[in-house]
Amino acid sequence: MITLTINGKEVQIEDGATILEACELAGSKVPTLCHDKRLLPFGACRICLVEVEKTRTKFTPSCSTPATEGMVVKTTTPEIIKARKTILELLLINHPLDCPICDKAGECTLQELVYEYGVSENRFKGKKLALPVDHLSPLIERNLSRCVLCGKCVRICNEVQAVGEISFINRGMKTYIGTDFDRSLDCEFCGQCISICPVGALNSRLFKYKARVWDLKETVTLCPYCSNGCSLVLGVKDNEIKRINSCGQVGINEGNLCSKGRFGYEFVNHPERLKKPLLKKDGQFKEVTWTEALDFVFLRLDKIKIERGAGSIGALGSARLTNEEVYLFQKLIGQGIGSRHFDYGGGYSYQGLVGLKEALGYAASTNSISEIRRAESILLLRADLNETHPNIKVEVNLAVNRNKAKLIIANYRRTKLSPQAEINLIYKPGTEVTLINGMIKVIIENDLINKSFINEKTEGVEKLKLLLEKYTPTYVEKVCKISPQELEKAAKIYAKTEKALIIVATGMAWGGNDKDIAYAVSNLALITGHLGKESTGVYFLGEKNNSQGVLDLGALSRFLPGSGSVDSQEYRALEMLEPGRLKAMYIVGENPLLTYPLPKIKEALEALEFLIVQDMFMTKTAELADVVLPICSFAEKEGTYTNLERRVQKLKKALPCLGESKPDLEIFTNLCRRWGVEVPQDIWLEIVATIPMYKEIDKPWGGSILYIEKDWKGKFIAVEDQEISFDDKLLLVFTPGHLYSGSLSAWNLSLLKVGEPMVEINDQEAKRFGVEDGDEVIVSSKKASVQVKVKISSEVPKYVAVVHLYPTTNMVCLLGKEMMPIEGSIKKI
Amino acid sequence: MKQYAPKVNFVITIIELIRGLLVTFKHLFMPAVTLQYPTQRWKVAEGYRGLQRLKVDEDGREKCVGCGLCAKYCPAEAIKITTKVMDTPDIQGYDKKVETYVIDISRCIFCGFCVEACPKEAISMSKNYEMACYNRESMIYDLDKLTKELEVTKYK
Amino acid sequence: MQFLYDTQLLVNNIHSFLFGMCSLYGLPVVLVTIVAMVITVALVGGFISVNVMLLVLAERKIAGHIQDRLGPMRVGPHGILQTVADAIKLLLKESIRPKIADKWAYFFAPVIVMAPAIMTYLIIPWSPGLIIRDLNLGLLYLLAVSSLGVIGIILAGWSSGNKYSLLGGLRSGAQIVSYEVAMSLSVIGVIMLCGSLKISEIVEAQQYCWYVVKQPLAFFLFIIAATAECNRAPFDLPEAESELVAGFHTEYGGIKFAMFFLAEYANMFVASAMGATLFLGGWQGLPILGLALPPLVWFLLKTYLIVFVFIWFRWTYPRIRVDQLMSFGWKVLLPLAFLNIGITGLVMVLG
Repeated sequence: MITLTINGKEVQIEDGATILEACELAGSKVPTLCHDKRLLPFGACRICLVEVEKTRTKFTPSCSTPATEGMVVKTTTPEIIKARKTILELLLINHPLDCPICDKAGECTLQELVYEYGVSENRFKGKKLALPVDHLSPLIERNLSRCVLCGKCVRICNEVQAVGEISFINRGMKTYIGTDFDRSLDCEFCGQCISICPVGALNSRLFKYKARVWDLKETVTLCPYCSNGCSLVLGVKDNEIKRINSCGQVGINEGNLCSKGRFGYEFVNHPERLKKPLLKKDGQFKEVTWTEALDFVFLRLDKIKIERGAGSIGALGSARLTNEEVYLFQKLIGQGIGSRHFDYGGGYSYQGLVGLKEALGYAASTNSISEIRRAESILLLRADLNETHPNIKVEVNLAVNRNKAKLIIANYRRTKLSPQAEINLIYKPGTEVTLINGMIKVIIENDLINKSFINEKTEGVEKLKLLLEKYTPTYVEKVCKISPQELEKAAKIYAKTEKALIIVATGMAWGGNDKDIAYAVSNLALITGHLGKESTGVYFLGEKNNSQGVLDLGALSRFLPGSGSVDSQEYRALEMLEPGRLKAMYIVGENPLLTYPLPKIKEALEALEFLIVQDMFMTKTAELADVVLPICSFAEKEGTYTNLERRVQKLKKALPCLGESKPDLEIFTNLCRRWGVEVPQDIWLEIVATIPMYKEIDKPWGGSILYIEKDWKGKFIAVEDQEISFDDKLLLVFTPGHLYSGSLSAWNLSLLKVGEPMVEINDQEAKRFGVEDGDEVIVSSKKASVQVKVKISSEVPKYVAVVHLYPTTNMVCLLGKEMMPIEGSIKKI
Repeated sequence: MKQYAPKVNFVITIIELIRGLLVTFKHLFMPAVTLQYPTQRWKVAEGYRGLQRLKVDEDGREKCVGCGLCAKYCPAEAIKITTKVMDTPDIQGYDKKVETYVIDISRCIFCGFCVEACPKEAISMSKNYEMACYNRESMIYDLDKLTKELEVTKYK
Repeated sequence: MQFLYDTQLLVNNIHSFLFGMCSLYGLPVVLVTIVAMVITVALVGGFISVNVMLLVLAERKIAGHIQDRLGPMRVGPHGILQTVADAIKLLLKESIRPKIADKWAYFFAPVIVMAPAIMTYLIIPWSPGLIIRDLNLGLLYLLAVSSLGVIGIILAGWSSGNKYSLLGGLRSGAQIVSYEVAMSLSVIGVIMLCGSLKISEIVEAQQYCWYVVKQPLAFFLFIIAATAECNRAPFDLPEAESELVAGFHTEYGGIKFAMFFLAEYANMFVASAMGATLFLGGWQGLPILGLALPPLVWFLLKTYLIVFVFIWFRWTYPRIRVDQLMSFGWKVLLPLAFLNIGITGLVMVLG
């Protein structure tokens, strides 16, 4: 810790910090244009100049100069003010006077600085820039004349997002920011450059001219998409979300957002959102009042419960419900109706976390998100972070770029993150467990195991060693199709680094062997001792924003004490949807007709006597329902979500509910009361009382790092892949894609990039089947067949055909049980 | 209680009474100050702040670019502006189009701040002060009402 | 127009014509008399109506111009038909009666106020010979009949059933009665000079010198008392708009109110006519100038001059408070009237 004096005040700061950070600590405000907390210092704008005594130069840029012991700094002197004024004048020579039509007015740093320093006249004369405006890029508009060349957009795209779409072009007076060959933008459109640009050079086209910034009422709430739990700032005017912004001071994401979070709000005010409850009469939907709809629901369900027993009613929840809603829903089904058939996410998407519970103790990821960037090696197993969890990708990027971490990506195809990786293991889909077992074997062979950790904190290692006898690198090569050298290298990197962590993505897109992967991965972590310390551990990334919370709160009734009557066996989600198995179903927020890998799902839904669907839009499943209840979106309700690092965060209401839609909580409360289930005033208090882990908000339950208690023991569970084949058949797999099922994102017209249903194959496979890019083909597996278009891609390896989902056709019915890869063939029409 | 009555000088009373009569008599022959509205109309001073008018430039387009400063500055929040993107940018490359520009005359206090705030001198206060109407809805003036020259009904 | 100059002859001619007709055709005298009476009454009624119309308009216009404004301008050219519009409005109004008002008293009060006002027109000398009835006790008759109006006012105030109307009525009654005394006493000077109560003789006696010259104090007192009699400013507390709502005629609307209104202006005309007759020489022209105007015109000019003075007073002076009013009437006007009588008597005795 060093001491320095800022404006007469002494501050203590750690070694290596810049003068700017010391000034912030001292409370002296130094203006900046090209500085951001997330980025490395650049020193381009020269506005942050301060006077440091006893230096050679008159002024020092505070953002890029490290603080030293005993420095005496003055941040405001008449000369500094004169210098800053001159810099602003120089910037204003070419900056066009667009303030009346620029969207940034009101939050523009240049405007604020010019106003603060009173620059009303310009001593310098020059031509205003008239560079062409880029209107062609889809979501981002680039107005090059307004750029002040601070370089923040370039740096954030490079350092934080690791995409590098834009850069400085030319030198000197001719410099401008552009893409290679001045094409329009073709990146992932995360919009980070828009939020970080201090002037109006980069603007969101969704928000363009819709409202002035000062008219917007801003509310901080949570993102409804992935389980990262980023905080959004909704800008609302006239009861419509006009734009979403990020704020570095709130939440855990440091102001970083992805394209879904930043641009995915059009579904909230979509004209097709359901506004009134619908009842099917004579095959047609009729709008009814809430009392009529809920009365009908209660009477029919009660009748079915009395006549056929509670075991003939099932419920499908959604991982997008808030904690309170899930708690109440499972109480309704378990205690009110008395059924134990309550599931969500296809029954398989959360099995990974269940596996972690059995192996390690808690059904959750072991460490926090902010530790990822300090890791020294990362094993990314079966995860396409750019598509599913972009902000985790940012953390991984920061680890690789700033902390020199070694990234090992194991996936069945190359992804956008592959250039960052030290090793890319492209394995045959469905063989993850074999791969991990192979890695463990290599570690055991090379005596890289952590003996003290194994002795003190684990049990069952001998059985594991016995099973792994046959998992030699050559065996692994035969099964997974990766070279032994790569396998050994990867295993050694993981075992040798101190801070090594494993990230696995889960969700309905991935196959059903998550539990086995969980066992295998925890074996790997336990055997190397990479658990219970900072920047180590295992991360299972849930797909939807409350995947963790829904699991914690007992969406599986067996997790919650004292719920559900002892009634027949408990059906999992896919079992519930066998034709004729159940008589009535209550589906909330899910769209099984489109996303469940069952070929006979339509028959199953039609065979039900009574189907209730509770959703925001008229989905394909809702079209078959008897009652459709409209619910409100994330921006219109209150509640809490738990993100993947077990942090419970609060949702804030920004809009009134659209039309007559209600939050799920109100609907469940109403139905609970009818069956005599007691509903407390403050459900959060009851949750805190019944569920041991849930105590505080904005803090991860169980602490930031799990398993650091003295008397905890991890279990080694030996596991193998279920079906292993050694042949070279074509395997059909599914990709999560940017929009996945589009339950929310398909309604954002600007984000919709999925063109049509298609299958991606390698050019060698294309030659084998005799198809060309763009041909119509029939893809068939032993379960079903679908007609699609073909796309040829070099990122897909030889034996894999990647199936993309499209929001009108159920493509996943092709795949195996619980989305496991399945053999398939392509036939040209 | 002692009754206090002021002493009145009789002569002065009479003189003052007669003087009062003479004053009123004088006023009988002075011209009346009544303005016979609506046949005669008041000549408005220069710089009078009447109804707002949105100015139009030589090519017939409104000068207003939709910056929203007048709406922000208005103390009564009488101005509401929405803007949108023009499908094709105009000659100078600008593509901001004012979709609606509404002034609620029943809220407006005619202070003229909007004129001061406008960076393009697109709004000015005209000399029209006759805005009475029969219902609240017609007190909400939208873009064409504000750019048109309002006719004044002539009475015989 | 020549006949206007010589109205005495005209009247005699009409008389003889009528009675000639009588004897010629054998019509009973009574019938002819009655017909004549009816015609006279109609003429008087017509004159009063037109007069009131004119007076109301004159008052409003003069009031306007004194206050630097124009007065009514819309109805008719320069607002001439304003009173017609007002009259029509009043006549078309619904005649309501408060529930607690005494039905018959409420109904008859305006009549009782109106009747004496019209009755006083009996002795107004328009022109030589053009008097409806030249009573020997003309002046006494006038003073007596005009006192009858008070009954109507008090009755109106009382029968409205409104405390404030009652107060207004009583105040008005008190005021009129007090100023009656002063008025009567101021007129005594004239009677002393003339020696007769007959109106035509009073007018004739002013042939060479109007009594205003000989009796300035009496004229002054008469004018003041007359304004008080007619409930006009500055003595209009009982009926002022801002006090007691409208005093005794608060609860009256429509035709009944029109009657009060009419009665007030009729009274005002009579009072000014009396002032003109007793002090300004009636229908005598100015002796020196010898302007060749018909005596009727002279009379009307003088009357309207005094009416103008009344209007002038109203729009110049502030209202006097009730107690000030009463003390002024009893403590100032009455002694002055006695003084006047004393001086007149003294001068007459001394030659």
